[in-house]
Amino acid sequence: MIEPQVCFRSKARPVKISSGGNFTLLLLEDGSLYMAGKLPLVVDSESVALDPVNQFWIQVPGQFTDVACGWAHVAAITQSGVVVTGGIGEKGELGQSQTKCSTELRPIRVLENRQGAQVFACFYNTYVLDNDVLYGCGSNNKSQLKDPKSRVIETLERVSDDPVTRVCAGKNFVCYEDACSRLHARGPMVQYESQLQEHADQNSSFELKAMWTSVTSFSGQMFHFYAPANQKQDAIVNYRFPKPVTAWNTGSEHGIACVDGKMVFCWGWGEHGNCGRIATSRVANGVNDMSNINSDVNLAYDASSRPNATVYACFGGCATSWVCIAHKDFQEDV
Amino acid sequence: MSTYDQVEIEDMTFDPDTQMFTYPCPCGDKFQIYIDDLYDGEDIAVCPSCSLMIQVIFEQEDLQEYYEEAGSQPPAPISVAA
Repeated sequence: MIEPQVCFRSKARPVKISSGGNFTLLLLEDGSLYMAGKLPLVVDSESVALDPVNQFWIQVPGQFTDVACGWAHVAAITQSGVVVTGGIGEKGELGQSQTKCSTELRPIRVLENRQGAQVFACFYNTYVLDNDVLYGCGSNNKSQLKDPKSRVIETLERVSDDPVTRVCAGKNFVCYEDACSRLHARGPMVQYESQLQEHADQNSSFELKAMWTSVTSFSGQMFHFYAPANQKQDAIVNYRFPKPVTAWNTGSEHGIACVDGKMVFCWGWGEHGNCGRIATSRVANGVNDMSNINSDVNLAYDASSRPNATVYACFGGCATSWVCIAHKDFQEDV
Repeated sequence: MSTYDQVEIEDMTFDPDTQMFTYPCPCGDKFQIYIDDLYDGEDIAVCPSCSLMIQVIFEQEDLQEYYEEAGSQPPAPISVAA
């Protein structure tokens, strides 16, 4: 089992966790934003001392509705409807024109429509979904933003011609669905466009999420995988859980699924213990004995013995797994 | 040898001070390889924090601009006495 290495406790429920290479951003339902790790932003030191419960976490000033992280940068949407970015963006992913380093969040776009607006980020790219239009900036080395390919796009440019309803982004690709339920891919993932469409057509509840180098889909309690898989990132394909999957997500090269609001399973690349250890390992819980480097679908966390605890979400980062637990009698836990 | 991914050299970051090419690893560290190793024919960059490796896609002549950026020269061939 995974023994939590870092926790965050709050009465406000965490609704999104997004990780960069060495840091994590955590968004609460009340709009508060916290960060931990090797921080790409500098905040007022007074904020650090304000939270005695979650000392590992530093609150980012402001109120937000969404957040996403690339390798070394952060993109977020403020509650007032402004897209902001900060951190390091050598490939233009900050969307701040010539600026490649910004230690504070700076505005790059005022939303046309706050309803449904989202930010996405991975590696050296930022994407903004605003008023059903997908915009992007950053590396264009695989034509993930537009044709022809180019090294850097420094400000947000329109990626889609059609209205877009949902998006997932990987290291050098983006997939999106248009308002007519047609799936599109840019970058190396374009070769899987027809497979994605075929599976999407089979089930209306079609969800897409991306690892760095692949896409995983989930529909009708079945997972599909699109890309080569050298680290068992596709181990979930054809796997049947005895109870319904109630939440799932992807990390850099691993997947996480919560079953029946209690059990959390991981698969794929788990070298840093992010997929849990294998059941036969004799080491203590929480110790990474390197027994599970390329993981089959593996039970990593189980809240079954805690009747008041429900796992309501899970998130993945760079070789990290995050489990969100709601306690009936206390407060939210990550 | 199984590698995690293939990466073109133009997508890597070159540091003229360390003479090293780097590229983000999904563990959070960075794959790394020295320019001289590439010049000598090595094409596998390794991560110091995990077991993953990438194959660097390049031609030897691609390295000349990086040597110029670093103000250095490719390693001289080692002469072997008869």
